Formats: sequence, C-alpha cells, structure tokens
Amino acid sequence: MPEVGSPVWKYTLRRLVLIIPTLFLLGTILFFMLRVLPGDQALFITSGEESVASIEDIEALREAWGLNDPLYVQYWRWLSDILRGDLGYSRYADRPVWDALSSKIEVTATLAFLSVVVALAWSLPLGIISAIWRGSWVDQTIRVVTAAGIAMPNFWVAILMLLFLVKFFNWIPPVQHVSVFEEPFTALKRLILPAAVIGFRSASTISRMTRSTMLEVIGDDYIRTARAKGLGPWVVTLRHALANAIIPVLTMAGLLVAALMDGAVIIERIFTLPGLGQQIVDATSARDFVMVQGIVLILALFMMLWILIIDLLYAWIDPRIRYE
Amino acid sequence: MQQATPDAAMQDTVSITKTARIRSGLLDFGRSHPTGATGGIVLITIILLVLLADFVSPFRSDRTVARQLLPPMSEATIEEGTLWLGTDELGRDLVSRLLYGGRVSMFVGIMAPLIGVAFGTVLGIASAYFGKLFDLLVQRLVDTVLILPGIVVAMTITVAFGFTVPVVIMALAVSYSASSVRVVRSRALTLSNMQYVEAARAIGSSDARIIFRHLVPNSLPVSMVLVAVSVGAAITAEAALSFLGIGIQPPIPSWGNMLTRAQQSFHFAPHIAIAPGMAITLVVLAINLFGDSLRDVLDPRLRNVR
Repeated sequence: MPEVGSPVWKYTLRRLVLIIPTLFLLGTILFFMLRVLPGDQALFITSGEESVASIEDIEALREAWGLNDPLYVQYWRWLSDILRGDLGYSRYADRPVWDALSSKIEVTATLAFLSVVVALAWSLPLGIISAIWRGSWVDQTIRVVTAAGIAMPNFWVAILMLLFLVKFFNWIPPVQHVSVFEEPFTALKRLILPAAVIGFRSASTISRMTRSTMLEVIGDDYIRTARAKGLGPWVVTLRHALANAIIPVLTMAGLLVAALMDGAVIIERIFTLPGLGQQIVDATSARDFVMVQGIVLILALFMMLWILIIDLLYAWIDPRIRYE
Repeated sequence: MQQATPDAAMQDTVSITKTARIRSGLLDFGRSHPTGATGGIVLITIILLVLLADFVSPFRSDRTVARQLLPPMSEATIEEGTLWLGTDELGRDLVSRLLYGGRVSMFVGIMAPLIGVAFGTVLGIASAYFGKLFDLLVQRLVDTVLILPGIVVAMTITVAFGFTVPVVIMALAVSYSASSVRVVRSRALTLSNMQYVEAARAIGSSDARIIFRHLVPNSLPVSMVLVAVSVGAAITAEAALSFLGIGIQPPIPSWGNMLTRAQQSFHFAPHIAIAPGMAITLVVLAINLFGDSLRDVLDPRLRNVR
C-alpha cells in the first residue's frame, strides 16, 4: 500500500475526482436526450389490450409523477436526488432504482470478471506458445483459430455451443438463477458457459497481441544475454520476455473492457441471465428513464474504475512509467 | 512485415498509363500481402453476389418454396435442383435468404462506419484546428460516449427511435464517430502546425477552406483505415442487434435476424443456425484480413487501433 501523499496516491485521487464531472456530463446529456423521445411512462404503463385508462387518467398520472413540470424543474429534481446518492424511484418496476439494480449488477459484474479470467487463461499461453514456435504447425493452427475467433459473432458461438452440448452430451446449463454469494457452485455452473463465450472472443485478440509483442521482444539483446548467461528457456520466456511483452497487451485490456461489456449485454439475453443488459432494453422500451439513467451511470462508473485499475497496474508492471 | 514497394512502380510512371499503374499497384499488393489480397477477392465476390441477388438468387427471399426446415443436400433438395442449403422455418430457400440478407447486413456494415468516420474526421480535425473551448467540449463529449459499451448506446437508440435500417445505421455510427474523433484529432494536431497550413492562412484562406482543402485530404488515409477496420465489427454488431430483435426486423432479411428463430429450432435443424453465422464469419474474416493489410500499406503506425 503506497503511503499517503506519494505520487501514486495523488494520481489515483485525481483520477477518482475526475470521474465526477464525466458522470455529471453523461447524466445531463442522457437526461435531455431521453426526454426528447416520443412517449412517456404514463402512456406506456396505461397502454395495452385491456387498458381502460382514459386521457384524463393518463393526464392525472403525469401530474402526480411530475412529468408535466417544465424540463428544468425535472432536471433539478433529478440532480438533487443524484447528489444525495439517490438514483430515483422507478414507476415501472415500482421500487427504488438501486433496489431493482443491485442483484443485476452482481450478475453482470460476475460475468465480466469470469470472462476476463477465461480470456487471460486462454490467451496468454496460446500467444506465448505461438511466439516460441513461430512458423510451426502449432503456430499456424493457433493463428487460424484466433483469426476465426475474432470473426465469429459471439452470440453465434453461444448458439453453437448450446447445440453442441445438447446434441453430444445431452446437457443444458441450469436455468434457475442463484446468487454467487449464496450458492457459488451452482452459480458458477450457470455462468461459466456464457463467460467462456465472451472470453473466447477477447482471448483471440489478446493472444494475437501477445504473439506479436513477444516476437518483437524475443529478438532483443537482453534476451540473448539472458540465454548466454545460462538461464533456462522458461525463465527467459516468462521472467524476461513476457514481463516486457505484456505491457502493450495491458493497454489493449482497457479497450477490451468495452468489448467484454458488449459481449456481456448480448450473451446475457441468450442465456436469459437477469443482468444489466437485459434490464436496459426493457427499461428503454418501457420509457423508464430513471432506470435507464441509473444503469448507464453505473456502467460508466464501472468502466472508469476498471480503466483506472488497468492504468495503475500498467505503471506497476512498467516502472519506467511516471504518474503525471 | 514486408512493405509494398511503390518506388519501383513509380520510376516509369511517365510512360505507362493510369490503368497499367493501378494494375501493377494491385499486383504489388497481392505479392506483398497474399492474405489481404485473398480477403479482398473474397470480399469483392460476396459484394457482387449480394448486389446481383436479383439475378443470381434462385428465389425471392420472402417466398415459401418448399417444405419447412428441409436439411441441406437432402434427396428432396437435390430433386429440386436449387435448394442447396435447405429451407428455413417458413420453408423459404436459405441461399436466397443469405443473398438478400447479406445485402442488408453489408449495407449497414459499410454505411455505419462510413458515416460515423466521415463525421468523426471532420469533428476531429475541427477540434484540433480550433482548439481551446471547442476542443475541450468535443473531447469531453467523446469521452462520455466512449465510456459506455457501444452496444448499449446502439440499443438505446434503436429501441427509442425504431427498428428501421437508417436508425440502425445511425445507432452504430455514433460509436465509430466518437472513436475516430480521437484518432483523427491526434493526427490533425500535428498537421495543423505544418507550414502549409500557416501559408494557407497567410494568403487569407478561410477556416473552412483550410479544413476541407488541406487538413481533410491529408487525414484521409487514417480515416480510410479506420473505416476498413470497423466494417467487420459493424456487421457483427448489426447481426447482434437484429438477432436480439432490436435491430432490423422481419420481413426484411438480415444475417442477424435469420438467427433469431434459429435458437428455437436448432436442435432438429442445425443448418438454419449454421448458415447465417458462417456467412458472417466468412465476410468478417475477409474484411479483417483485407483491412489489416490495407493498414500496413496506408498507415503502419495505426497498428493498435481496433
């Protein structure tokens, strides 16, 4: 743990403070963009086949929920709620946004975390092997597989995997959702397949990156020196080559978060996981703006924290990088 | 990576005609980047096929022509002589569906990055050129868009504004314009300090003239590469949206929405799940191979841009 007042500490603090204006701007833009959309919550809730609501009823709902107030009044109400740490009350779900979201955040976050683990477990060995045995049939196979892995849409891979498992093993992943904190094993059994699908795609990108950065490093003088002084091939590869080759790979990891989240949102729907991706589509079509804003702010916060962690990690691995 | 050698081709440009120069340029590209050239050829073939779908396709994409869910290459299909890939859940010919669906998917996949990057290029250059408050505002805006997963941005837009082709294109274009603003701006920062920009300003050129006559043409290689490397992702993104039912809607076929029904019937008719996915994979692979080589030729420094 770095001591208070050190450059790392100051840097982290400044980055954390900078998150606030970005979230504020995002929230504000989103607030006004959503209000431009046709239709509102009162209309959505009262519409439907057996609805008996009259125009007066809808108007009364709007009045009661403050939807008829001028935009700046609504904006001010939202802003003062947010500043008090209150994400608002979803009329559609009929509960506070935070209550509705907390279990979904857990699903999406667990899924994202598992996919990172899968992606790294796949990609680093593949990339290293590919670089060491460059030009061999192993390398060729890995390159073809990873090139295909980038080209295959992940939802399609998910469909094929399900097909494969049902056809040959007669196995369907469990559909009942449980929390990771209550029944970790059952939850993992349910989450591992979607995580593998999401991770596979990112793994392809990372292993190709690892291969090319490893190849750049392997030709360097210091690797030859390490070999010349009699170090074993594993020590040279892992301790000397990989330590330097991994740095550009980590930069990519920041971008990969976005890819992982993209994947999580789509794959959640195929495996009917009750996560944020499912929720944001439902909320947008229900014109549940408070909910949409809540989800977007949480996703943005999550992404920014992740990028910060990667930047810190990056500087920890490469001491040449200074905090400025 | 081996570089194309334009020098050799350039030496006797005076004597040879333009077509001959293009031909030798293409040959050079093929020789130095065989995978890229293969990707390019595959891509051009597929584009021609989907463009000429009216002539090549055995049936129309929305006609029931045979029994439902006929497997590919079955006796029944061979008797018919045309239904090579079998039929889908409504008895429509899969080959025809792939051709017409490909037309939509590829149109969206090419237009979204094209529009997005074009807008992003102008905004990025303007941001670098004007600097100050404008630059600051644009940068904050770009950061804000990029902090969100692209699919979430696209989803919100299509769910809100409707599931039509133009809306899907715009929804996807937003992310590409934001990421291209960043890349183009950093390049344009160097460009706008060049002497020719100063010279143009000295002889009284307007800002618009400097931007569109000097800075935009000089940033074009970067933008072209950005488009080329984004098309594959855009095709996949469109497929994902349409697959989830929040992109392009039936009866308009797209590779994505052809897979929507596949999830229900794939246990007994896997071919309707496999064919559209293969089509997407083939096209995206071809584009990526071509795009990577194009990047090497046009701008090797962009290697890490997704």
